[in-house]
Amino acid sequence: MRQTENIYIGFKEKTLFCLGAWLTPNLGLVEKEFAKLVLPSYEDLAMDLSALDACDVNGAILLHALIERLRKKKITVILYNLPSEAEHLLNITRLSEEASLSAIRAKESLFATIGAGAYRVYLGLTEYLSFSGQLAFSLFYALRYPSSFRIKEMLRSIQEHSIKALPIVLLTSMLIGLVIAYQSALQIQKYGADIFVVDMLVISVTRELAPLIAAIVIAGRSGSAYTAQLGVMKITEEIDAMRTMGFDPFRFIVLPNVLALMIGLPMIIFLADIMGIAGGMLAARVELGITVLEFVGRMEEIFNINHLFVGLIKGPFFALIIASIGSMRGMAVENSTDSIGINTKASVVSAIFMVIICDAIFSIIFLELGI
Amino acid sequence: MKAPVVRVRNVSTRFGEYLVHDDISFDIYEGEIFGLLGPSGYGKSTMMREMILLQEPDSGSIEVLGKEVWKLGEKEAVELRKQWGVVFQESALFSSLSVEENIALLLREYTNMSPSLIRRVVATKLEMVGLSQSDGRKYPSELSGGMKKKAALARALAMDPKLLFLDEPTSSLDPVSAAEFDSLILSLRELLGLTIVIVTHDLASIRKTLDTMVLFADKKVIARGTLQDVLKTRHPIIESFFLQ
Repeated sequence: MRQTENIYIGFKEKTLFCLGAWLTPNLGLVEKEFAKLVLPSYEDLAMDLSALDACDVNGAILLHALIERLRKKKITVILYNLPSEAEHLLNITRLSEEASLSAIRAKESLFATIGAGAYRVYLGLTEYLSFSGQLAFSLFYALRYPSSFRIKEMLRSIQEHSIKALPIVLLTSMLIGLVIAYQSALQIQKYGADIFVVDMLVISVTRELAPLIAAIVIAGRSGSAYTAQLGVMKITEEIDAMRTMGFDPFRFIVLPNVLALMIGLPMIIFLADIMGIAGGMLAARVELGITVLEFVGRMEEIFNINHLFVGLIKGPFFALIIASIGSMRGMAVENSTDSIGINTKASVVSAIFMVIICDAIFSIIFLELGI
Repeated sequence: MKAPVVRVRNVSTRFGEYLVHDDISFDIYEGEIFGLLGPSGYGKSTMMREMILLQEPDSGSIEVLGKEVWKLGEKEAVELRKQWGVVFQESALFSSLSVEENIALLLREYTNMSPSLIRRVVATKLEMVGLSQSDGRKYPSELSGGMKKKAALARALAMDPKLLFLDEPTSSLDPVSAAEFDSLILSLRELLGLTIVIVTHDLASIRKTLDTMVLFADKKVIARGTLQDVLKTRHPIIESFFLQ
């Protein structure tokens, strides 16, 4: 019985008929029709190709695959009325298939995936260690030969990555101060302890919030810029060109950037402290009716200068983390466009993560020291 | 005589004030390896970009595979694009995908073949251009220039086009890889009966691969036909071009 609804393949009296145009766009249909055929398990089967109107290379590959599938079921296939075009194509594909089929990819096991992941983490760590080593070396070199240090580069980097970042950092910081004061005002009012909003705000902003916010915004804004800048220079071979001219990219780009941020970030934090407190002051005035004079008076009573230093001292450490991870990721860019995207993302994510870890370590240290 | 695969009629192109093509006409016939020749800056790559729907000429008509390309609707244009393969000068392999995925992309997008059939097709195309299966698993950044070209060729062949466009395929290759690539093109034409349009100024591959050619200079086609025909034409640019 010939299955007439099929357009490309039919079956009748021990014979498979291939019909129509086996061209690339139709091959999916051919496969589906073949899968629907109910083939009895004959010892041998004829395949009649006389009605095959057209066939391209991909069609011949499919024909070949079907024959192979039948042979695996121990069915012998004999081809009849092979058009010369199809015969030619079958010969091409037969030659190449035999070589290639053995090489079809095996699926990776779960253990292999985990192992490969762990190895990548290990590689990342060693890469960071080696990067830190090079950075330290260029720092000592700069100390030994101060005239070799690119002071102009560093000033430009402060301008570009610290000063130009001020508006966004300060705005964020002010809003956070405002929100913190506003939210806690609602709770604190219930206890009639209105004035304590000053204690809470001033201490949390200077010790924790301003440094963290500044670091996170800078990591997103400037850390990613370091990565993209170095990455593009790597792809366009500018880094290699610098090396051949004897300009060590660490000395000329990475070290000035790192030092610039280490100088810039504490200053940003200091200004963020002021703006955060100003934001809180505004909320306290509106929500609790605490005047500016009362606020400042209370601040004078309770504020220990250590709170300010605790926040500022974190600055250079956060800056080191952000700038070195950003630069390392930039140097890790390889010769492909999406390598920049991957490394920029990794630079921001890991810089923010490491900043938060570092902040936690500082908290423990300061707690133990009783500052 | 057979109908031409590509028919260019009275095409003029200008970039701002600068006239690149002035009323150019020529035909490309089935089964030919056809060269667009000329010194840099005389609009041979532009002519190819106009044929493959990347850049519109200011006037004139271009017919490819019987369709007037710049009068097609979006749907017909997509259909036509599936019937030719293009290899760009810098290979233009998608760098986020492995070579295998680059080749499989069109098949996944435009056909409903099963994954196992796609794998077979990819393996065969790799074999055809002389790349190993392990090369297929690599990413473009891990390949040499010659291998990238072969991979780009395999990608162009994925949908079994009858017409292939190559933009300066050998210009960034060393002489050995270039000769290898030329032989590959000749054998593929033999094997698959392709019509191939090549933009080139590589003399070795002009001698080895091209059947017919047109030579662009001074906004015009100054010579056409087989290499002998072109060399017989008297023109200062032809002398300097073939004596470079």
